[in-house]
Amino acid sequence: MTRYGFRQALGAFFLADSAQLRKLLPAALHVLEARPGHAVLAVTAFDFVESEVGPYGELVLSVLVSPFAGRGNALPHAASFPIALATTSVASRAHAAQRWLLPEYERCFEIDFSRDGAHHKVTVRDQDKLVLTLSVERRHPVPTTRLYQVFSARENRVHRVNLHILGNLDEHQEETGLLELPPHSFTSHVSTTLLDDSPFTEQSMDHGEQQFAELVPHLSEHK
Amino acid sequence: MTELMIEPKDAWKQYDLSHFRTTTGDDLFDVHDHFARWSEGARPGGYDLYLQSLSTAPSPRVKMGENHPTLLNLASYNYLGLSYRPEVIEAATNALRRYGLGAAGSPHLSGLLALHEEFVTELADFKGVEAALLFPSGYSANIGAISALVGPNDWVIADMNAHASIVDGCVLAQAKLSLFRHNDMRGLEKRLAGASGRKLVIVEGVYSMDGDIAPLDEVVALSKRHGARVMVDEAHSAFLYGQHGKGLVEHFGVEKDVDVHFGTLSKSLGGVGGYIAGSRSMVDYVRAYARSQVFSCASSPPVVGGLLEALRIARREPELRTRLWANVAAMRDALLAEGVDIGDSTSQVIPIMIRDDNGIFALARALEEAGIYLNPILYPAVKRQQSRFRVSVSAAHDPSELCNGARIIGRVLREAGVIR
Repeated sequence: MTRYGFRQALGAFFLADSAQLRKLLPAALHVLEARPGHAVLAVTAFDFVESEVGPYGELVLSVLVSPFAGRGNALPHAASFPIALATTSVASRAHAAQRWLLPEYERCFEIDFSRDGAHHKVTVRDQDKLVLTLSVERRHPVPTTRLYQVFSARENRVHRVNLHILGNLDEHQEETGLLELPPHSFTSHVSTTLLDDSPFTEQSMDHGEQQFAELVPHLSEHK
Repeated sequence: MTELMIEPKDAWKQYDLSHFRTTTGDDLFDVHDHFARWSEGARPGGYDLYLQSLSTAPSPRVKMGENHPTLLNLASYNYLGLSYRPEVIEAATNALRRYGLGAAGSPHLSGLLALHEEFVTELADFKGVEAALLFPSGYSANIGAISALVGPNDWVIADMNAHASIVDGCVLAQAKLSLFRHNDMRGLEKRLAGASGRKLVIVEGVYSMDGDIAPLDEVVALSKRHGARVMVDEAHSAFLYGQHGKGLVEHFGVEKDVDVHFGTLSKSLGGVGGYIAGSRSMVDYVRAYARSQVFSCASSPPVVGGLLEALRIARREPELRTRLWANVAAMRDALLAEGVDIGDSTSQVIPIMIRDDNGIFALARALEEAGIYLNPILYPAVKRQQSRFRVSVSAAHDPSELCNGARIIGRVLREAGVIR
């Protein structure tokens, strides 16, 4: 089991055009639609303080997909396919790409977490250029453990990994968060798909841990 | 293959009905095992509060079995108390004797009875439109009408809180669905401006989970400005709003500007069914292409007989609406005096906001023990952590029993620490 300890994590789910997000997935995966024609784009940011490659920050854009619910396995709470991932260090970028077959952005970003009252904010910069800001409202966190599933693709094969995320989770759908997406190559392929700049689900977590199982082959992309 | 298998106690609380609907796996039925395991925990945890049967009519006092205590019913949407009125029962009985139990055919073939025609004629007259069309249920009316009116190249622009039958109608039509945030007129205008081609805007009159109303005057004005047709779902507002009870369209004075009037017959009229009403040409077209109408048996004669009498009572007894709105005011005031959060409700649907998706089940049991019948409503019916009880006020309630019910609700919520 691979563990990553984090100080803070923010997540937000946005309704987005299903047809456009579907184009970003391997054929073996299926978008999860919150409403007909409306898939879900997840924006998540982690402030890792403990990992095999030391402390680092991470920003991930993912498409929510249908989880694999094999007989005898625990049912994941949700499943995602990361379509863009950036971190704050070269070592963590390489680690994500090699260990988990995740996409790798060409440069390191600066990822800063801040707080203004109940609103928790992450600001991501590419040198002096703003990539995004995301703010979510934190209300009533409770200790939570959830099983998630992450899919990745490499050389025409799809893999999946189960992970548990433990920590003090606050999750709500009060639509009080906000995403600012100035033009940037990291987000350009999703910025036009979003229905709204306010997430329909906001998550925040602190003092938690990700526990990864092993990456396993899922299905051939052509199957 | 190594998979993590951690199943902490009360793991079912991490899941809800939404988690079992879209999965992949080796076998189509694999997910049934997951659902069964979840149900084993969820049922005793609170989901057993659903699908409970009543042994009485949905009147202000109900029982869940002969040996069970009588409860104050705040859950049924029998807004005018017509489902069990003696005249309605007599009319239904007469129709049963004359026509029998069923229509024995699609309305397009042998199932159309003189009784059906009499009902839709009176309904259209009441609504002040040229024609109306009857469906077996509200759900079938929405999916039938929407799938007939729009096609794969057309836009449906709908409020985010629109009923499942509206969304399903769009799916059946393969229409392009564009949603705007609830009652957000800027969002509606943005969607209208971004949609090229033929457009149908669909909103509800009263939203069934929040009890708030659509700003119909603005919806109509924006839609007309952008060349869109307008459909209003008055499931929870028809026969209640407006000087003559024609619905929210009458309340806002936009009866003539709305193209498709939709309503249900299970709420204010206390029967079952759905209808659309509007121009003769629109109704005739929907009649021809609404598959849920063409391929369903026509409505049961005793139901239509009862509905016809219920409609006549609703028209001739405006005092029912007067009594309903007085009851609504009394219940709202009593709940607010107790410090209960009723959200944005302005109608006979009054949510009691709990905002605790796990804690609401224990509250439902405590309320039942205290003599109150209310159903817990939580995700995915409403947003996460916006769980609530939904009070449906009826003209049949006595104001004093509503006020007493509000006091009991306040006491139970205070004891649970939900309110101070």
